[in-house]
Amino acid sequence: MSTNKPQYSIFTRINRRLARYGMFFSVTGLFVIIAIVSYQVFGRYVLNDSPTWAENLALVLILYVTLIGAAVGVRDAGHIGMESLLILVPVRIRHKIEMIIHLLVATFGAAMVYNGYILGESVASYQLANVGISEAWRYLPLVLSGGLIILFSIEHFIALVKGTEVEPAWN
Amino acid sequence: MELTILCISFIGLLLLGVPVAFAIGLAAICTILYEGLPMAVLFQQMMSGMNIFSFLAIPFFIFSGELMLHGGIADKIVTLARSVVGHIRGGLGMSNVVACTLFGGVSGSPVADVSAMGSVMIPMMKKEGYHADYAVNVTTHASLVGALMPTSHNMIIYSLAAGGQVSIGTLIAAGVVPALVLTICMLVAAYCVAISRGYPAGRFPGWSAVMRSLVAALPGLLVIVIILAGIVTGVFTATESAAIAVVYSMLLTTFIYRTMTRQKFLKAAARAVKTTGVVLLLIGVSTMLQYLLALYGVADLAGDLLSHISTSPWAVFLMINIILFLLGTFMDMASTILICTPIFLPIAMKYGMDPAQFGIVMLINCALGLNTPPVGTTQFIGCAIGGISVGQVMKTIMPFYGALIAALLMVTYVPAFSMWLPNWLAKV
Repeated sequence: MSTNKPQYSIFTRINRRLARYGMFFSVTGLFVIIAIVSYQVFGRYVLNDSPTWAENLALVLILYVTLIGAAVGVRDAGHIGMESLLILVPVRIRHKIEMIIHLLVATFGAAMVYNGYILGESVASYQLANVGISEAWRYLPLVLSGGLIILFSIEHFIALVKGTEVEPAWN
Repeated sequence: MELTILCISFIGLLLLGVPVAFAIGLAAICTILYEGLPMAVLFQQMMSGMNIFSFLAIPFFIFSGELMLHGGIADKIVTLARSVVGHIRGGLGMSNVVACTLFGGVSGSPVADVSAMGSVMIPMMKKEGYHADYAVNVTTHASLVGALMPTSHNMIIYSLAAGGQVSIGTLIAAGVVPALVLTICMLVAAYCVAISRGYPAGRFPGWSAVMRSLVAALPGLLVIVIILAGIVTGVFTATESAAIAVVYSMLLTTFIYRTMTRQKFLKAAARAVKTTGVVLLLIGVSTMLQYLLALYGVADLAGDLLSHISTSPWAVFLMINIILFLLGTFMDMASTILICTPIFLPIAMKYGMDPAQFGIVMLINCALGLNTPPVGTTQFIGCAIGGISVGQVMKTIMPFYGALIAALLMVTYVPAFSMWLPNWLAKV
């Protein structure tokens, strides 16, 4: 029995890879945060020395986990929305509306990139307390996530134009 | 004018089908651009809203629930529930309610609860002659209690949306008695329907079997104790308790139950990250909305509007309940909580309701919405498992719906249900 691998365009292949790496990164980040918070409890009750860096580092990491996870959710169409009204309109119009939705989501992604850059740049010279890294690291995930959201929304848009569907990169 | 732009653009985008998080963000951007303020203000609000330590409890609760969902604890809880209440008339229905309550306590999520319990209980009930609509209605309604349990991430979301007016510990304690009230109401409804349909009673397996099933399920149920005791006694913060619950769930399902495989573990982690991304982005952008709602004094406007209709707390609470319920039927739990809390919490407080009690009222309303079309997530899952249409389930939903509404009204109008335990703990 032969298995036919679907043929993806370069853009789709890149996006699939980005989504997969984004997912692995977010899962790893979640494990690291759990380890940090558990170590904080261990430090406080066992070592009698609560690590001062733990809370701030966990707070920076969760921004990466959340925002990259949210971007991957855009590709996987995992975001919560009201689809009930779309079901009522004819398929052709529904496709047009879906295209508009993806363009609107991409617009928000662009706003994330632009404002993340502005905010990151404005605080780049400050240091995050107890962690010793630039404050700009807090805004980098906004830029990365916005960029991914743009790419994934465009991929959905192209798929709708071609009459195909974006296959989730992970399950 | 700014408020009109905010409302119209938000509702318009939602109706168009734009995901809630992006609809909020885009509506906020439209409004701020009209105001002539820099857009960066909104994104700064968003990032500040996501930079709270208790925020971390949400992904941990979600992950712990996913681990329990994929870790095979469902079977042990069902065995325990059957051995305890299976011999009562309509035994499987009663067992289903108890099992859903226990698993709800472990997972803290109605959706996880209905997925786990439904896939075990609904086919089992159908096989033993129960009607599919009864099996689905019992499961989908009983699973809603998960939203009130100490492991509920929606409680953390409410606590964040309330802007520090209620601690997570108080809220968790406030949910315990209403969860029991809801369970009792569901048991009564399941029993009455079982009597009217002539469902049989099961056989009591004996106390030794009850003890065996209790010992098997106890390690899984301990996760509720870890969180409740950790937070209420102040030994751990909510975030730390949730992290310990994750580590405990991993160790339990891997080394004691030995049900966790590498594949299941990765699936649980991936699902947790996906849900985390979706929910936490929503929380972040809701901070934008909360900023604008505060800027335009929307809570005061809504309060004035309601007071024109009535100034009686009873009537105002009823109106709030109706609005929350209606919004809950259209929107997901997290969205409803994040959008409605800044508007209705100040009104409820003005009429004498404690923020913790309002949180429980909000959660029950959102839970009702989960079981009501057009966006009835738990109902859809239950119907899919039971192989029955939503229409068929809706025909016989009233006794179960009535039980939930009775629980909601009791919690709304009798503050002691929510406030007795937190007040007692504060004194101890």
